[in-house]
Amino acid sequence: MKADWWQKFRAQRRVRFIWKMLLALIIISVLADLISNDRPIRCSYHGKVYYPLFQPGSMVEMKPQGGEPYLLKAAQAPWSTMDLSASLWPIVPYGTTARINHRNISPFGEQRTRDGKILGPRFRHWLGTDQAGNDLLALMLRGGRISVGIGLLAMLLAGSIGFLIGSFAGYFGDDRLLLPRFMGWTLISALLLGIWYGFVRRSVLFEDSEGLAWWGHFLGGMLWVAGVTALILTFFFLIWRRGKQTKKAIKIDFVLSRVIEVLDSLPQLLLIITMGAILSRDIWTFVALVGLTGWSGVARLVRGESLRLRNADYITAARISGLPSHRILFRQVWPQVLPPLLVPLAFGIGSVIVAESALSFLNIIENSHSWGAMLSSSLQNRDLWWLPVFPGLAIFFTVLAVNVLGESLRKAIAPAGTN
Amino acid sequence: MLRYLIIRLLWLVPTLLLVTMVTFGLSSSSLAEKTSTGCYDINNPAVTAKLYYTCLQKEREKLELDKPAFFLSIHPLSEPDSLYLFPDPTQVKTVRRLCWEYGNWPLIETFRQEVLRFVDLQERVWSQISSPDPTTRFSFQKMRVQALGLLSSDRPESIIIGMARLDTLTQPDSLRELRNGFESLKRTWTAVQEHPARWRTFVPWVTFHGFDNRYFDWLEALLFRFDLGKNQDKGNAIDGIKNLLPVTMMFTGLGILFALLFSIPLAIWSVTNVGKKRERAFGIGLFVLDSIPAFWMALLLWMALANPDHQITLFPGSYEPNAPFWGRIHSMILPLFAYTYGSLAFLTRTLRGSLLEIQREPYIKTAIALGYSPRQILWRHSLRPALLPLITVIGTVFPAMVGGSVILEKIFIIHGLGETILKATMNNDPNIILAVFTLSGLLTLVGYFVSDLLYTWADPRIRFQQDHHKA
Repeated sequence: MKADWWQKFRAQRRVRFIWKMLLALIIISVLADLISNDRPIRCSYHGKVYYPLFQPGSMVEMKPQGGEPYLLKAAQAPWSTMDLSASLWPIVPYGTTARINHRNISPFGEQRTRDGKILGPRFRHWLGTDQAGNDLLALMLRGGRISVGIGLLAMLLAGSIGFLIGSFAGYFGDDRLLLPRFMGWTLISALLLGIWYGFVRRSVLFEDSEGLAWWGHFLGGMLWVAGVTALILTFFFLIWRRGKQTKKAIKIDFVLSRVIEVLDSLPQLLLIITMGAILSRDIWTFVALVGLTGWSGVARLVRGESLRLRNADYITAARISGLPSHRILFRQVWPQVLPPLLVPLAFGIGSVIVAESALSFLNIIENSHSWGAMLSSSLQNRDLWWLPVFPGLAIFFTVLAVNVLGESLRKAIAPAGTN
Repeated sequence: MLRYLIIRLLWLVPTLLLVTMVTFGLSSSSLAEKTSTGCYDINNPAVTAKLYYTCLQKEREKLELDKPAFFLSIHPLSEPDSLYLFPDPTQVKTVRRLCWEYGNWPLIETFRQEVLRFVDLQERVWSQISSPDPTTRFSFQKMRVQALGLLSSDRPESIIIGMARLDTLTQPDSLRELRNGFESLKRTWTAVQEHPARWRTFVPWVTFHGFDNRYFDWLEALLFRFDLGKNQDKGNAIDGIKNLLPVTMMFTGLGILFALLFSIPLAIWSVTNVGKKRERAFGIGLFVLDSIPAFWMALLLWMALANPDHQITLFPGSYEPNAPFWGRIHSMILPLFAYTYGSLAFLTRTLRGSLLEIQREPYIKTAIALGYSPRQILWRHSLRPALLPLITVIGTVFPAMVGGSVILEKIFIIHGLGETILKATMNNDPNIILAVFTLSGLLTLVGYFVSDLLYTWADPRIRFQQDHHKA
């Protein structure tokens, strides 16, 4: 049976509309290379039939006028200038290469190629071209997957961290997390030692690794942390079994609340800018930084919800009947806390998209190829109105859609009569 | 209440210390990697290695980099505890890499000393040759490059290749003296290779450096002299910020002031008209406005109204602090609009939501039952508690606005703090980053503190209790 709030959420008319819009955006992002490409789907060239879009690696026999024929990879052939017949082009016949396009073509008025040929409606740059001669529409179709993907990924990271920390702090409070004596200190020292083995000891590996290699070492480091911690804890339990069992409450809520407070007291955007400048200015570092610094709001909300739940009758019943704490947390608390969590996550996606585009716009994030990065070219040439307008509209509509989704979720989840 | 506030104030201290430690750690790691540019080129054969390294040493002393960064350092036993003493920061990496490969630091150290001795010897032999022919000159140059390359090669393979090349270069009979030097160099290298101690990389080691470290110096200067270090152009970081802060503060302060001035009447209007068609439209409009990125709006406004390349421009293209009064106001209109706009929709929506929520409170019903007019209820009973969320927002406004000003100052060409931050991040100027971060951290915490105080004024029912969930 589906949850009540979910049906309330789906029943709203605008949700169905937005749902379709976002689905379309995702499909366009995934299929961007098929929708917009500078290689035709099918064409015939000097009597031979080619499918260059699907076979970028196949060889094409080029026959220039009055020259020797030679072989060229389909991905490198200048298809739009070749003498093709019976050709079928993708919807947008431009890719990310700008070989023959004029620079700074306005979307209105007459458009020409670099050779001076006038472009017909089929090959028109409907949104104009930028300073490098890239077709704006082709760039925008590809920028969406970066912008939206970044938003989803960062909020997924922030959401899961905030969810874990918030629900632990809220449900266990200061009195319910009972651990064997000294267990807390063992855990902390095991984690510290694990971090030392995973990261400090291996920090040489991080120094000259770039891009994705950084992530490989990071994951390796996390594996070390988990392994060392598990080893020490096993050791602890083996020894512990022999002694007598006294348990002590850990003030987990107090500690985690202080952590949340410290994180809240840091200006997030500045933190991301400075840490990004120090670590690395690529888009993945941005995602990681947003995830690692942006969870405090979610954690506070989830903590409040779990705090409300921890004294609910059904939880008390479960506690009295002897269900272990982790079972109560997983089976009774989490399903109740999850829906309200979705509201800040949905709004968060919107603000991550805006933050990413702002930082790409300022070139603080380098080479992100997102909508925001497209806006940045308008700073160099402030005359070309179409450069900021179209990517900005895309950002605006996406953020609007996500915000409407968040608002509808809020209405569906809020108790009856409060909105 | 007083107890709560005192505890709150006391918490400020460790929080700020933690923030500065983290930022200092991050920024000093980027500083340590900076290669000094003031020294001669080592690849120039006329510059002896000794001269070069003394020069590097002096550079580092000038930048006060020849001190440990923090009170203690944690490192594997295989690494030396005095990496900060290395004159050439690029070689710290290679040393650490070699220690990671072999784990026997003392042997690596003797090998490096031997390399320097060999370079020294080679330079001496070269100066003794009275009339060199081109081939000798070439082979000596090659020898020198190879030997110096040993110091900066971090993989065993490249050291082995370098040693083999040196081996062939020192073969000629005329270079007997150099040959002996190379033999002893080779002995130290085989010692490194034959006595690896990888196990030492598995042993965590803590070294205490005492109070003579860079972090403590920085903290001392901040606390006793309010000095936040030098920026890259050798100016005082605090002076640079002090001159720029008023501009940024003026724009952010006026922005938030205008946003409040507009949002409160708008929210009241919308609440008093709840249910009407125009209010619904207004709500939707606010929602849409809230989704427009403020910086994009600012960019479009600039392009449409202030672009100096156009024939008609309504506003100047940049903020002119030195213009006469009306000119200055004229150049401030557009930026101020952008600053206000950024938080207007959000503030109005927050205030409207909380006003609506308070309408359902029992004490409002009581007030209605007692016969107060709607106007009296609004002004006397609902508005004050409804300001609560706004107060929270204002507590967080300063850092958000500084962050926002990074973007808006770039678009409207305002020379302020945001521009400095942007420049500092682009040039990796650690002291500026650290100074801005410390200041904004402090101001945020003070903002939270003040908003706590305001809370009690706005809603007299609030009593801060530490253990509210222990019911």
